[in-house]
Amino acid sequence: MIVDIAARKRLARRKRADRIFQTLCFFAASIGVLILVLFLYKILVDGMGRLSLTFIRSSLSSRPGKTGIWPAIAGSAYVMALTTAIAVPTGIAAAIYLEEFNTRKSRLSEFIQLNIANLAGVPSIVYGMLGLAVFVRWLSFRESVLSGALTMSLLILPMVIIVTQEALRAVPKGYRDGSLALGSTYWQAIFHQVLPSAAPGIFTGIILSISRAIGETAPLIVVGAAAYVAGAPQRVSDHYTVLPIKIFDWAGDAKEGFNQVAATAILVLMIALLVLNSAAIYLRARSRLRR
Amino acid sequence: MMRHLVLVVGAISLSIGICILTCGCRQEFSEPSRAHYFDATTLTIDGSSTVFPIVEAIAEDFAHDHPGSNPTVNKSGTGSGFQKFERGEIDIATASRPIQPEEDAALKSKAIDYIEIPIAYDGVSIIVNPENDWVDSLTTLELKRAWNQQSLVTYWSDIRPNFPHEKIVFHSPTDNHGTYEYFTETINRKRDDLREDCQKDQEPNTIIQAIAGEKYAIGYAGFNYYEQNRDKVRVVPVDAGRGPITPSADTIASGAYAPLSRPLFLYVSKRSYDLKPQVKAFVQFALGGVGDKDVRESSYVGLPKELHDAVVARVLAEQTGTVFAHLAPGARLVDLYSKAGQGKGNRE
Repeated sequence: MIVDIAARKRLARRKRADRIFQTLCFFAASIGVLILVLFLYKILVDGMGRLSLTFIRSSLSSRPGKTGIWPAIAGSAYVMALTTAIAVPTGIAAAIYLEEFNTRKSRLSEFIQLNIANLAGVPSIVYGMLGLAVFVRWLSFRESVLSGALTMSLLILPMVIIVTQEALRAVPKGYRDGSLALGSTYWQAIFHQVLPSAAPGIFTGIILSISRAIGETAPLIVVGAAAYVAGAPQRVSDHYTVLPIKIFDWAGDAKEGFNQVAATAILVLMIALLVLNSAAIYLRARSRLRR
Repeated sequence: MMRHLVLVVGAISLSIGICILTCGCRQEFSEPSRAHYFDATTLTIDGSSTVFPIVEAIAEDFAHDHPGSNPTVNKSGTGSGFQKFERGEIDIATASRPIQPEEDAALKSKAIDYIEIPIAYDGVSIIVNPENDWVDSLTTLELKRAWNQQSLVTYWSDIRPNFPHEKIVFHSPTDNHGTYEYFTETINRKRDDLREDCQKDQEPNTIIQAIAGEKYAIGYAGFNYYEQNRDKVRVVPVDAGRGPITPSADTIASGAYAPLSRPLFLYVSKRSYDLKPQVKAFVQFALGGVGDKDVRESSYVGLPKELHDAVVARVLAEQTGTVFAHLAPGARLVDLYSKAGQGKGNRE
C-alpha cells in the first residue's frame, strides 16, 4: 500500500510537470502571435486615419498634413520590377546549371555551391557597401534606380538560386529519364518536363525573396536612395526613394503628425506584402491544379 | 548536347554581364568624372540633416512651381555632402557650418568653383530632460569642462556641487554632422574634441527621443529640433560671460545667443549654376520670398534683411569662394560680407 501511495504521488508530480511544460510551450508559441496582433492593432489605429486614395497618389511633402506617398510606392515598384528582371533569369539559370548539368560534382561547382550558401547569410548592409563601390562609383550608375535594383539583385540572387535548386531537386529523376528516353535533348527535358513541375516551388521562392527585398532599407540607404524626390522615377537613371526609407524617415521626424504618416506608410507596405504573398499562394495552387 | 546547353546558360549570363559593362563604360567615356552623369535635367542636393527640413520644403514648393524640375534632396551629413560635392555627384551641398579650409583646397584642386549662400540661422541648443529642475543655465566654460575629451566630469555634481550626484548621460550627433563639428570647435575650441563616452546618433530626432526618456541626460541639436519638441525636452540657456541667453528666433538672429548661433549654408556648384537652368532657378527661388517663408515654417531663423541683401548681391554677381573660412564664433556675418566686398577679391 505504501508503495502504491508513493507511486501515485510520483505519477501526479510527473503529470504536473507535464502540464507546466505544456503551458510554457503554449506561451512561447503565443508570444509571436500576440506581438503580431499588438503590432497590427497599433498600426491600424495610428495609420488608418490617413489611408486614402489621395494619400497614395500625392507626392511627398515636408508638411505632415499634405504629404502623400506615391513617389515611394512607384520607386519601390520600379526597383523591385528591375530587381526581379535581373535576379530571376540569372538565378534560375545558375540553379539549372548547378542542379541539372553539373551531374559530376566537380571541385569548382562545389566551391560555387558553398559560396552561394555563404552569400545567402551575408548581412544586407554589406551588399549595400558592395553596391556603393561597384555600381554607384565604379560603374558610375550614380544614385539611380539601376544601382538600387542591381544591389537588390545581388541580395536576393543567392536565395533565388537556393530555392530554385530545391524545387528542381524535388522533381523525380524519372521525368528527365523518361523525356531523354523519348529522344529529347537535355534542354527539352528541362524546359518541357522539369521546369513546369518545379514551377510552383520556384515561384513561391522568388516571390518570398522579393517580399523580403521590398522591406530592405539598409542597403538602399547606402547606395543613395533619397530622402526627398519630387516625383516618381521615370527612367532607370532617375533618383528614387522607397517605402521603407520614407517609413524610417517619418518615424523619426520631429514634426508632430509624421508618426501617424509613418504608420499609414507601414500599412501601405504591409498591404503590398500581403498582395505579394497571396500571389505566391495563388500561383502555387494554380500550378498544382494544372498538373 | 551538353555543351549546347551550357552555351545557352552561359549566353544568358554573358549578355547580362555585357549589358552592365557597356552601360557602365558608355557613361564613363561620355563625361569624365563630373556631375550631370545621366543628363542635365537633374537637381541633386545632399548634405546636412539640419538644413534638410528647409531645403526639403523649398524643393517641394520649387517642384510645384516648376513641373519637371525633379529636385532630389538627401541628408547624409555636412561632411558626407562635401565629399559628394567634391566628386561632382551633386549640384548643391548643404552645410550646417562654413566650408573648411581643407574642403576648400580639395575643391580648388579639382577646379570646382562654388557659390556660397547662407540660407538661415540656427542655434545649437543644449537640451535636457524636462524633469531636470536643477540646471537653470550653463556657462560655456562649464560646457567645455563637461564635454571635452579629457573631461573629469562624470556626475552632475561635478559641474556644480549643488547639482545631484547622478551620472550624466551624454548625447551627441555623429561626427559626419556639421552640428557636431560646430559644437566641438566652438565649445571645446578644437574640432573633433569630444568626450568618448557620449552616445552618438545619426539622426537628431533620436537624440531628442533619448533625452526625453532619461532624466539625467544632456545633449545638443539644432534649434528647430528643440522648437518642434518643446513638450518633450527642455532647453538650457547658455552663458558666455554676458549672462544666460535662451535660444530663440530673436536671440539667434541678433547674435546674442553667441557663440552657439550659427549660419546654415548652401554651396552651389558654379558649373551646375551655369549649365543647368533649374539649378539657377532653384537658387533664385530659395533666396526669394518663398524660401524665406519655408525657413520660418521649418522653425529656423531667417536672415536679417541687411545680410540677406548682401547675400543676394553676391550671388547675382556670381562671386565664388567663401567669406566664412575664418568665421569667428559669434561674429556678425554682415561684417564679413562688407569686408569681402571692399577691395580685394573673393578668393584668397
